[in-house]
Amino acid sequence: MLDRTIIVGEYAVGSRKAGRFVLEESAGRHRLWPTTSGIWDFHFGLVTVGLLRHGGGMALISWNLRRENGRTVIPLDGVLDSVTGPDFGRFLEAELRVDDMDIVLEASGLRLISSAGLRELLKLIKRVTPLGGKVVVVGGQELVVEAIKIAGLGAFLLAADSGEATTVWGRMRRFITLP
Amino acid sequence: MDVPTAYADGWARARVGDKAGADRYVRHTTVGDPQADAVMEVLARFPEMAVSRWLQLGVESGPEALTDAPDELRAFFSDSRHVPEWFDSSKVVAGNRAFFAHSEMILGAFVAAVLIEGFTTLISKSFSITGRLVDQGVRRLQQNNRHLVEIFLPGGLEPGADGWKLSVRIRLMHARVRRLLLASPEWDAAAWGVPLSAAHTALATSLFSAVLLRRAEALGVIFTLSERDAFMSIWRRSAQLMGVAPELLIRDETEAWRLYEVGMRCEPPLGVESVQLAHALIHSAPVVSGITQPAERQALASLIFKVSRALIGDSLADQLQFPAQSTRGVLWSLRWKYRTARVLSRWVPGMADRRRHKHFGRLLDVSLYSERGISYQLAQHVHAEQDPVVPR
Repeated sequence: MLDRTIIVGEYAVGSRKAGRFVLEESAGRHRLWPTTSGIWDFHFGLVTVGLLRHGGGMALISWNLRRENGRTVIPLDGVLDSVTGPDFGRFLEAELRVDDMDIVLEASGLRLISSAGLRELLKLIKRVTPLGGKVVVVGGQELVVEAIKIAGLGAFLLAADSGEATTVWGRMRRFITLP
Repeated sequence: MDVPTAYADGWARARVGDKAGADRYVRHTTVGDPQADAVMEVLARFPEMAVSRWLQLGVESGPEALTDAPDELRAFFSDSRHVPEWFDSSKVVAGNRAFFAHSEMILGAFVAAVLIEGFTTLISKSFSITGRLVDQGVRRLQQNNRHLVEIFLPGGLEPGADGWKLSVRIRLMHARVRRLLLASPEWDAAAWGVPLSAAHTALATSLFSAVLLRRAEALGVIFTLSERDAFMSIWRRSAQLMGVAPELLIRDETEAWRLYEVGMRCEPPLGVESVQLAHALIHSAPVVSGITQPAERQALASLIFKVSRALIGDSLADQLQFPAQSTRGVLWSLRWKYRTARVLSRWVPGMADRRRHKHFGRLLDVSLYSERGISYQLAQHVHAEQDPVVPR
């Protein structure tokens, strides 16, 4: 019985119609399936690696998370956009537990973020913040940090911007429900 | 020079004030987008499924991934990835910030003034014949909003970024619709020139940049000089990606206004299509905003008509058959409210961030998103209702 299935990327082989890689996890084992819309499937016995065709060729996506010292750390690499954003959202949906309340997004490898990516971050904020949790982005490159600030998410996501959490107003804000 | 008959009178009038500008504008009403048009000509030989796949590969992965595609398509994507020396994402942050800081008023000016003014030109013919605004008005507006959001996000116009992808996609879609319309008996080339002509794409760019800045200011926005320059630079880059002819690619606000003024003088008087599209747009806006109750939609549409009349003037509003309404105090009231809110947000701790956060959330709500990402399915028929609906 399958525990879960995640679509992790797409591929094209010569002139053959593009298909998708599907990662299936069952009883701790992982299988990576390239699918061609049902024409035929075959299966590799690979480990938890996804292949994403993006921005100039095949690129390894490395979404994973680790739990350490009460925090849930998720590295972000490449770009978080209309292609990777929805997949990232599905990854979070599949991987995050109810008690993952202190989330750190390590963004030193994140080059760009579009509104689709910011949308997923906003969803993440809305998931944990009302319950007293927090999400912090660390190590983001300049354009990414600027995008986060511009979207009004700096106070939630950027450690420097959330300095006001130590003020009376900042403490009050934690009790204000997000729209 | 070949002058489409509909432009004859306007061209003669415009030449009095700006002979070179008028000649350049009208000359480009008979020109499309040579490179993209040539690509569409070649792609016409292949099945649509292959074309969609190639376009997706070309946009998402670059020309190297197009191992079995025509040379013209590979060259197109290779050229699209070239970043001109006059554009640097890191130097237009002021424009990025300005857009999101004032997104509410900028989008308001976009819908109530800029798009309406664009529809008073022969741009309306393409939209009306294809039905791409009337039948799919809500979706079209959401796509426009998404495009704006992406090109104004920092890095959004880097090759491979979503703003870059959407701009290139628009160029390809324009080329496809141009080809479909030229082959249709409904398009009168002798009278109207080339559909989605180089003149029109350039005019649209000047509307979406310099004119938009001024209309947003009428609603209360105050831009600094660096914000204006950066805003123009972002639009210039997006315009280049959308295939605006190099000769008409505006460099700054002055050039944009010159193009706007001469273009609007050359354009013939507005027709039925302009009225249809203006009304369709204004009635779509409440739906895009998520308002479903008919009474509320009507109330918001009525407000938009009033604000639009205040921005574009009574003469144009009457020609567009807007409801007769007094606009006394409308703009003053909007400006006062907006500027008061801005001042308050600077003084009340955290308010500025909450405003930005709220406005960004609203921007996402009024923009088109799909779990499947960006669609590369191009128009296959002249009339939009005959094309398969792209699922979200």
